Amino acid sequence: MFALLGALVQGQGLHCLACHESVDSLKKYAVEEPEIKGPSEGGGLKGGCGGKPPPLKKWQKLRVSKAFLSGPMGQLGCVKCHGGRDTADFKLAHEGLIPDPSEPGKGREPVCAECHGDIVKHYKKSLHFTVYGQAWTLEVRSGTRGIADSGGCLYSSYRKDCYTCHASCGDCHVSRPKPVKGGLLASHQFLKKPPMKDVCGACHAARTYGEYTGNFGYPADVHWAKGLKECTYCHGADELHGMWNASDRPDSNMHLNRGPKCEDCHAKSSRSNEYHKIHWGKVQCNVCHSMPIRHCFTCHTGYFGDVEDPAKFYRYPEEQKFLFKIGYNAFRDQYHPWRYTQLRHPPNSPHTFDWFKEHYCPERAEVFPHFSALPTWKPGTGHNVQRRTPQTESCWSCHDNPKVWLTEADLKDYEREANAAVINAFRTVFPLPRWSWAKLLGLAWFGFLGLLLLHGIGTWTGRAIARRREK
Amino acid sequence: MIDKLVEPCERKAPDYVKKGYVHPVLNRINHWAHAFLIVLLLWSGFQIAFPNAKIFFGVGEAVVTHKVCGVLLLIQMPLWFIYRAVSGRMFWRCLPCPCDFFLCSWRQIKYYLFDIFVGRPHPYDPRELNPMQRITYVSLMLIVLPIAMLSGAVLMWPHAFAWLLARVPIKTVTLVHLIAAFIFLFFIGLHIYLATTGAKPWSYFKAMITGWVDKEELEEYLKHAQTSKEA
Repeated sequence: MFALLGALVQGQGLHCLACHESVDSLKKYAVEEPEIKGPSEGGGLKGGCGGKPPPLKKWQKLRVSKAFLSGPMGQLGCVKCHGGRDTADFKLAHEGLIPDPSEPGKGREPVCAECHGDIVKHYKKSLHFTVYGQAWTLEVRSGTRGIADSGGCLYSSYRKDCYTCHASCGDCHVSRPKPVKGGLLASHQFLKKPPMKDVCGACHAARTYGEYTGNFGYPADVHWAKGLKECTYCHGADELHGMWNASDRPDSNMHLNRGPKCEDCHAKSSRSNEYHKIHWGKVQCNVCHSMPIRHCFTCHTGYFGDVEDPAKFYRYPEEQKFLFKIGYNAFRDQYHPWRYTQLRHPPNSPHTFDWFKEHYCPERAEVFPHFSALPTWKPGTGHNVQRRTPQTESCWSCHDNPKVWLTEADLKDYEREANAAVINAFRTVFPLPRWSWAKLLGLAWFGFLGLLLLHGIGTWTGRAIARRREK
Repeated sequence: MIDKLVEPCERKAPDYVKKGYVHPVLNRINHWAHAFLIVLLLWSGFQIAFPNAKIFFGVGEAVVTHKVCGVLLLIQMPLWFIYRAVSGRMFWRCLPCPCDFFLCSWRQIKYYLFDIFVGRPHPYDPRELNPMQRITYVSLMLIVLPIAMLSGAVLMWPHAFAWLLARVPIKTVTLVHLIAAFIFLFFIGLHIYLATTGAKPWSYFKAMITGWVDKEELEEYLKHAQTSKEA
C-alpha cells in the first residue's frame, strides 16, 4: 500500500496503472489477436515448433497488478523502463512505448543491464538470445559467413524468421515469449524461475516439452512423471543465461560444455548393470533410454499460403513422424564422446527458405549450395527418457534389429550425401547369435565330451585287459 | 610318387629331440600362454555371444577380458611364428608331408578307432608330432586361428575396417568368428582328451611341463618299433 502510494506520489505509473490494473479499461481498449496454432492441435502432428499455451484474452495479457508496484522493479515506475508518458491520454501515453524493454533496440541496451550487467553481457551471446544454432546451420549450408550480424539476403531470412523465435530477458521472467504473442505471466511480477509450461513449453512444445510431459501418446519422461523435475532442474540458469567462457563458440548446444549430462546425477550408474558396463561412454544414454521422438521434415519452405500471417506461414512442416533411430554421432567431441547416438531430424531441406529466396534473394541460384555439408539427421536427446524402453528389452533389440538404425531407406534423395557419415552404423554393431544356437552348441559340446569319455573308458579298459594278458 | 603318399617323410630333428627333450622352454611358454589365452577367449567370448547365459563373471567383464586377451594374442602370434620359423621347428616338426594326408593319417586314425582299445602302443615316435597332430596343428595355427584373429580384429575395431564391412556384412564376420571359436572349443576337448592317452594319463602333460618325453612312453614305442622291425 505504502509502495503504491509512494509510486503515486512520485507520479510514476499513476495513469498507466489506472488502465492496466483495471479490467474494464483493458477490455475496452485491448484488441484481440488471432489464435495461435500449436502442435497440440490435430493430434500432435500438426503445427510448428511452438506450443499453444492456455489461451489468454488480450486484456489478461496486459493486466498489471498493484502488488507489482510494491516490488523493487515496480518502484522504478513504468516510464523508466517502457518509455511513453505517464498520462491519461491513450495515444500520448503509448507514444514511443517500448513493449519489451529487455529487448535491445537501436542504440539501446536492454534495460536489465543497468543492474544485471554481467548476466545480460553473457545472455546476449546465449543461444536463447542469438538463436545462433540456426544461423550457424544457415552459414554452413549456404556458404555465407556472418548471417546473424551483417546484411545480405539471408540476413533477412534469419532476422525475419529464425530470430523471431529468440527470447529476451522479459520473455522468460516477465511475460510469455513473443512467439506465442506474449502475455504477462503474473501481472508483471518478475519471476526468478519462469513457469515451465508457459515459458519453456511455449517455444519448445513440439519437441522437448511435449515429449517431456507426455503429450504425444508416449508416457512422460521419467524425470517428470516420477520426480516432477522442471526444465531448470537440468538446464540451470548458467546454461540458459549463456554464462560460459567467452572463448566457447555460441553456435550450437553441441558445443555447450556446461550443458546437462546424465552423468551429472547418474555417474554411479556406470557399472550398475551389464549394459552400462559395456556401453557407457560409447553409446549415448538416450540410445537405450529414449522412446520414439518427433521428427520434422521440410519446414520453413513457404508453401503454406493459406495462413494469413506472413511471419507464420512458412513454419509448418510438410511431414512429421514419430520414430526412434540410432546412428553415428556426427558431432563427436570431448563433451559428446559417444560413437552412437539417438538421431533427430530437424526440418531442413534444400527448399527451406524458398519463400525468402523468391522475395529477398532472387539473384541466388540456390539458397543452400552446400546443403550436404551438415547432416540432416543430428544427434538428438529425446526428452522422453524411460528406464525401460523397447531397446532395453534385450541385447537383440539393437544388435540384430536394423529397424532402429538409420539406413539409406530412411533418407530422402536430397539428403543422402549429407548423412553419409551418420547412416549404416548397424554395420559396425555385431549381431548376437540367437539363444537357440547356444542350446544347440551346448548339446553338441556335451555330446562330444560324452563320446570322448566313452572312448576313454574303452581305451583304459582295453589296455588293462591287454596288460593282464601279457602278465 | 606313390612312395611319398604311403611312406612318412624323413624329418631332421635336432639331437636334443632325439635324446627326448621334445619341448624346449620357449615352446612350453608359448604353448601354455596360448592355452591360457585361448581358454579365456573362449570362456569370455561365449559369454559375449550369449549374454543371457551366466558363464563368466559378467558380460562387461567378459568384454574387457576378451579384448585384452585378443590383443595379447595378436602380439603373441607373430612372436610364435618368428620363433617357429627361426628355430626351424615349423619345417621339421609341424609341416605335414604328403603321406600325412593319406596312409600315415590312416594309421593314426586306425589306432584311435581300433588299436587303442586293445592296448597297442602308438604307431608313431612320441618325440615327434604324429601325422594327425601335424595336420591339425597347421590347420589351426595357420588357417583357423588367423581367421579367428582377423575376424576378431574386425569386430573389435569395426571402424578401422569400415571399408571391409561395407562389402562384407558384419553378420558374416561374426559367423566366421563364431565358427572358428566352435572349432577351437571342440579342438580343446579333443586335445585334452588325447593328451590323456599316453602310457600314463599324465605322460603328455608331464612332457609339456618338463620338456622331456615320458620315458615309459618312449620305451614302449621303441620296443614296439624294434618288434615290428624284427617281424
